[in-house]
Amino acid sequence: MAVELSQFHDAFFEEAYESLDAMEAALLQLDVGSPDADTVNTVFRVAHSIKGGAGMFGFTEIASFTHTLETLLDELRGNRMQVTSHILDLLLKSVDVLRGMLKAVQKKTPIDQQGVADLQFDLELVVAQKGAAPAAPALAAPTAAAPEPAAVAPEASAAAERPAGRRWRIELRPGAGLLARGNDPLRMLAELHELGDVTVTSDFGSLPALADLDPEHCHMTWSLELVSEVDREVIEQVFEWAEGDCELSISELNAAGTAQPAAAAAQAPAASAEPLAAPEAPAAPAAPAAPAAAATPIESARTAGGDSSSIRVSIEKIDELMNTVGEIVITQSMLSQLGTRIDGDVADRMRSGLSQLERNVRELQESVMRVRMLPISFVFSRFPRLVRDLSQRLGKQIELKITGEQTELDKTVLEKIGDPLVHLVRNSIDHGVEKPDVRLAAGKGAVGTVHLDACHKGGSITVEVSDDGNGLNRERILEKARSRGLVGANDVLTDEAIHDLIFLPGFSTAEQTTDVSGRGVGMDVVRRNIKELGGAIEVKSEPGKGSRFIITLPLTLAIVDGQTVAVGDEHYIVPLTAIVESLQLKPGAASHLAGGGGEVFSFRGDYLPVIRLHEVFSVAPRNRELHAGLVMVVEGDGRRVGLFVDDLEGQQQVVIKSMESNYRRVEGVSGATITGEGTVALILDIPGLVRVAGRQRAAA
Amino acid sequence: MARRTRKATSASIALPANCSIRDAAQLKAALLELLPQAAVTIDAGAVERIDTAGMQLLVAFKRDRAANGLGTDWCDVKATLHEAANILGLAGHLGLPAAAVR
Amino acid sequence: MTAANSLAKTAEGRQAESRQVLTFTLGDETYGVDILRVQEIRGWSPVTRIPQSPVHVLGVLNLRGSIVPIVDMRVRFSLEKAEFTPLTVIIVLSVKSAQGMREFGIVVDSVSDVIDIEAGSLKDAPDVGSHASAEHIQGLATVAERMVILLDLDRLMAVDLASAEPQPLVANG
Repeated sequence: MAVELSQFHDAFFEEAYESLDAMEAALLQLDVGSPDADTVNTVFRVAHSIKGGAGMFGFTEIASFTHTLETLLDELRGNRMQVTSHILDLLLKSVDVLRGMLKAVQKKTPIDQQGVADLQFDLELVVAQKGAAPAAPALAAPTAAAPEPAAVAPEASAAAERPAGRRWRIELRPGAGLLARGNDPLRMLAELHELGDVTVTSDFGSLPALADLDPEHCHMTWSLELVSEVDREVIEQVFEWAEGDCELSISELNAAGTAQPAAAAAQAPAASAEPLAAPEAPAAPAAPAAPAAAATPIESARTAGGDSSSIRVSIEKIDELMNTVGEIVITQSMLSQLGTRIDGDVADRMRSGLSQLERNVRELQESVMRVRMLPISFVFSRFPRLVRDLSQRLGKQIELKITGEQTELDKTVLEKIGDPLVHLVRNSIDHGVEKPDVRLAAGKGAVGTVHLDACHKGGSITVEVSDDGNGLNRERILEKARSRGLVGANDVLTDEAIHDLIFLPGFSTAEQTTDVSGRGVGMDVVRRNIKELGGAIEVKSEPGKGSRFIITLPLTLAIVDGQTVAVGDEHYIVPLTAIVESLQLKPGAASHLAGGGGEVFSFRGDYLPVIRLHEVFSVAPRNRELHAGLVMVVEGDGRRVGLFVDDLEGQQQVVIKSMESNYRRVEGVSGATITGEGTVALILDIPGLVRVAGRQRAAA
Repeated sequence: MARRTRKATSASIALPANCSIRDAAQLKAALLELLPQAAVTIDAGAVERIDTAGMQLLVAFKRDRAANGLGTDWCDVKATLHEAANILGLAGHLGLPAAAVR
Repeated sequence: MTAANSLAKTAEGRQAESRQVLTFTLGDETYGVDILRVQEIRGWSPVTRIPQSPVHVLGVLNLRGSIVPIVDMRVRFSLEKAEFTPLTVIIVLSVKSAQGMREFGIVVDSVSDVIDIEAGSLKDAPDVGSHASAEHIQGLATVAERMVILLDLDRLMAVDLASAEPQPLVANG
């Protein structure tokens, strides 16, 4: 057949991964003992749709595994088996195994056959043992007896053995949006042709005149007769992806050619409704979006808008758009500067036009930026599983509370914040929340809470991980810090300063992974990751009441608020987030340390080293006397230094460009931007700068 | 984009390689322009991809012309188009020449 | 076959029949680069200096929104440094690196012309004592009694692109 299927593979994988996320979320909502019927149905539909897709693209291993999974789910759905915690574990494992299989197939690497076979065996085993289990109690809300022949097809096909060549009548009425969503009837009918002999009758009675025809809507309908051995389920799978976008009816014809109830009807009284009389498509295979919508509030919010009004766009295209808009911003600011120099009658009109342009460009930039924004639920949604697994393993009872999951942030930030958050949540479960008996003894409820929250605050996003556990152990931290020489034996520290110690490199050691109270394993890594995103993290803790880790993140990585500084003839941009304060030192305010240790000055009770930017970057400065220029107190890697520059210039938002796209990484520089004059200005990377300065001093 | 050449009474259109929904609006515009021509020949030699959206336009074009008593001829119809027409049950309606290439 | 096609086919590799080369001068030597690698030729404009860079990397320029490094070929080939005037020329080239295609500008004394070089007339570079070292030379050609040194751009630029560490080996111009 000339129809190329591989072009749809990507869509299949993408949808399948999303479906699995939805399935996992639904499973986590499932209560052992009193499972919600809708949730079980959702899980079943996801498995079914993956099976259909996998079958269609010839991924037989996935199709075979999902078939086994589906059999178990069908037992659960039909209330013939009870959802036990063992089964729930198997189902969750199945999600992992399926993810693994999809990844393997997508990357064309070998599938973990043994793992798949083992789990498949376990799944078959629980179904086989169902007779031994006591009869299941009724589902919390009994399933509406939907006409769902597919569900009973495995038994039906065995019972209703037919002579060769069953005849099926299929009526297909595409909906308006079918074509636009990439569902081509040509492809579906081509697949039917592969199943057997097809007689096709097209009807274009409602096809408008060419002039009035919307070329992206399908105005034709089809009536087909298929002579084939296949079951109804197989036919339904052909149309699976079009579910919701078309009206479909499938009925089996007897020898005389009149429609008969589906073969399955004998076993399932609910399905005895005349299929042709019901114009809606059979309920069984749901479009991938549907289970997601039913699964969790998170998923539904994501897919609700995705019904007919959203499209998938590759991130490269958006980045291209971002770049072009960045160019427009630069051109616009160049024009604005020229505009101030214009005299004469047109000057006013020119300037008002330019300020209009400036507004429009800003709006355009914000709109494009918003396209890159995704709700943080993409990251949050992995936590229910993590909390469940980990608390079970540690014998703790923990409720996970998620709020603000609709808060949006840049995709790049989103991708990089996942690991630090996992680390924090893990720490909360591992070291924060106590075991039930300890909690009860402390007068708290047995069930602890871990709370994930996200919200907008000004131009940035705040993400908070908090728990109602024991809080940080002040004495233990101090003791540890002293023993590692991070704090002097007689230093007096505020609580805040002590809590901050856990972020220091070298504070955590391997032995601490098993030390229940010693929180701070890998906290330095968490802080570094967040700093790399241009964010910050702080911790607040109350003994016995719990701790809060508060992360502040920029909305986007594509733009930074910067302060332009001048050194000699060069201009550099310092990210505002790194700046603590700028000050002019009095003559003699700085002193040289003995033994070539460099200059220091006093700032809020601390002595900060001076880094002369002109020395680090070998630029001829305008001033060499500290009091003649400015010292900017900046923070990098948790250290404060005074950056000596000639002068401060304007503050503005700049679009960040990579130095690496044509050159290479330059230490002390995080990127570059194009100024209103069309020249390039480098954006400083303060931690890198501190490292370079330290190395230069050591070499001197 | 489709190329068009026009003579006084008859015209021809060479269908592009890709007659899918992606370029359906352009194909529609091209066909619309030819709609009133006395005789039209559709050169399908270049067609490599066609989907339901593309087929639907051709059906509407052919039907609208026939309704006005105007004929539409085909030339160089390749397997891709034949196959699509057969699958969708449109071969007869399009008046495709007998499927010599199979 | 169209002209563009045949050009593209002969662009790489020496076994092809003939190739077009843009020539430029540095001191009293004539150099050539494959015309298909040339993105644009533009006049000199001040660059933004980059710290921790070899001396021959003058800085970066904004070229249609890309940040493009500019190399002074005189310094690169250890020639005497020349004054930059509005007549100084930058040739913007594309080079292949381990990380993909990169754009690079080179500052030269002047651009001469585009010449055809027959594949047969291309000779291997002995260590002729030109300022470019042999490993950066694709071959030598004699055109109108002039010796043209054909540069291997990818190898020439690789050292500047490869590492984040400063490259001291070429800094003593």
